[in-house]
Amino acid sequence: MININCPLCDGHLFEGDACGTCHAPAAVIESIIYRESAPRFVGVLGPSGVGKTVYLGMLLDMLSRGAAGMHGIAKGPFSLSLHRNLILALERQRFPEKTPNEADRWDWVHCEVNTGRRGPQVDIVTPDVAGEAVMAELEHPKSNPTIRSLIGRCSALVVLVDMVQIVGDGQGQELFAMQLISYLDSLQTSRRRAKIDIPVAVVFTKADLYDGVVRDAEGFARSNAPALWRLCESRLKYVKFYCSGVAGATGRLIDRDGFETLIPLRVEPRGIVEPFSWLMSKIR
Amino acid sequence: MGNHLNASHTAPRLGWAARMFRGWTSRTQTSAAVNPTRKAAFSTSARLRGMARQLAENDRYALVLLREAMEDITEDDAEFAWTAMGKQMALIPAGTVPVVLGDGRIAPTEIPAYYLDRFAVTNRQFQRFVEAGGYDALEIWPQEIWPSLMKFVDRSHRPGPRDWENGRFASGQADYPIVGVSWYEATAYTAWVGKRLPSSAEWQKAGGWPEHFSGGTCTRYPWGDVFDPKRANVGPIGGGAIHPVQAFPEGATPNGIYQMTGNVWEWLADRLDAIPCHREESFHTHKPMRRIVGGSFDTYFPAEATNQFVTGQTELDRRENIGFRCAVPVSRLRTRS
Repeated sequence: MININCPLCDGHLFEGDACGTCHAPAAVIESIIYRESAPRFVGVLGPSGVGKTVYLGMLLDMLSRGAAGMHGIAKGPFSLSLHRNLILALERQRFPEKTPNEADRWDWVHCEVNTGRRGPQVDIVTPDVAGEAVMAELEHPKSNPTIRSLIGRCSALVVLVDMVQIVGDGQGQELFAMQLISYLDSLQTSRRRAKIDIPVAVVFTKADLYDGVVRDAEGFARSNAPALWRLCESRLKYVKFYCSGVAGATGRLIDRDGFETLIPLRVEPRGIVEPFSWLMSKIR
Repeated sequence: MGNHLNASHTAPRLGWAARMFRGWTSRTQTSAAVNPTRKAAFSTSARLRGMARQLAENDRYALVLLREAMEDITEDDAEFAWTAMGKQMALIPAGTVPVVLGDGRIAPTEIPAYYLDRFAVTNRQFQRFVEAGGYDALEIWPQEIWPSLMKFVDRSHRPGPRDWENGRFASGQADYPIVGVSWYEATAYTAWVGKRLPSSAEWQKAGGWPEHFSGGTCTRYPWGDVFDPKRANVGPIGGGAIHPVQAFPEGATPNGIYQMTGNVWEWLADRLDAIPCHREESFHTHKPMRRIVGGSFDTYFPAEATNQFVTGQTELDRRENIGFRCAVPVSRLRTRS
């Protein structure tokens, strides 16, 4: 048995095994560990229900078709699992089921992205994490090694914020995003005073629920999430705000028990590739 | 505006076209009585003729052809309007077709003959409506929407579609489909030209004709059942932008109706009150919605751009990818001699 280090958390493991520390599956580790260039980890994080799976799955689908001068190829069947589940759900006018809380049940993605003639080839590796796990790690640091390793190792970060909740339900979403950026800051132990140089895209999701998808995302942040905007401006060297949406319109299904489910009435992705494209330009 | 708001209508009213012609006639007669010399200069019939021709030239020919206006319009003027209609609308013959309903069930539906616009309504056409004071003509707007009319403004806060400026569309976009209008604005325009929005059943028949090509059901796209990206502006083929209404002629129906698939979604008359779902589930909308159909330049799945796909939009939303076209039932029109 060959002893190797996990490419995400550096934990020791035997070749062919999943990482016992951060739960990176064996297929993911094998897919990236022997590549010539070190993989770039991109974190897509946000609270529960913000739309991480939808954002990530849609991004993969758009990259696989080719978008904004980039082309992505899923590495390994495991990478297509999340992608497939999302597309099958959207085709039935449904959103995918909620990501389970347990890290060993998360879908992982490894996507080789060709960013054009001048740009580098980038390996995107990320798990589709549950929002509860992110929250748990933010509130009790070191409690979730997967999230800690991912945030600690990521070359770029997408922070998803639910626009509907920002508009209607107070500061919960804003505070979560602020916690996440503060956490990122806390991991930069060597240069406390310097701004964080990992590019961060703050993406307001579910913008499609508003007529006339918000065109000025930074203006929206300044007006509706001012504390988050200030924190980003003061602590992040590279930050940009985006609005995104996948459904052109939404409706509700109510089952016989009165349980309500939000459903997409059609698919019109906006603001999905743009943040990613900007992040790629910053990590070159 | 205030007079209209307080008006009460107790007696049965004539149709709008009849009232327009009759109202104009009575005004002319009053004016002539006050000043007899004008009577010699302008006969009522001559003025009516001028008005009918002007309406036809301004794409309001359907008003001239409505049964309710028959008494006031001569055969000559009607013929002029029929010619205009023939160029701009296609006749969809009556027939019974299997129609996909909102909940996904298929029901044989008898559809009376009707005319459908060959092209989506353009910026140029909608400009006439704006300039004629269409947003102030309360008679063509449902009463429940009157309080919201002041919100239907352009970027410069003038009445008009969402993305216009100073009551005008962007330069070079005259032949592009009008977008950024709510279902109510679309409906008001159709009334102004003497027409109405098509129903989902009518759309399926027009866009899926002839039905025997698809084994007795309407085809999914105007050209058949298999999506062909060269025939419609759906997804990347159109560069992610709206094209003029005459673009993609290869995707037209056999009787010359353009862009029933792609370019912009189009408002339908039907409410969105059901989508295909499990028996134990019920569908609800956040706000009242109307069906839209056909897909647009930014539709991701071609399967959503079919004649039968069920989706919708909130009635008051003014999206940059939703336009409309008009229909008029044959039964509302005079008989062509």
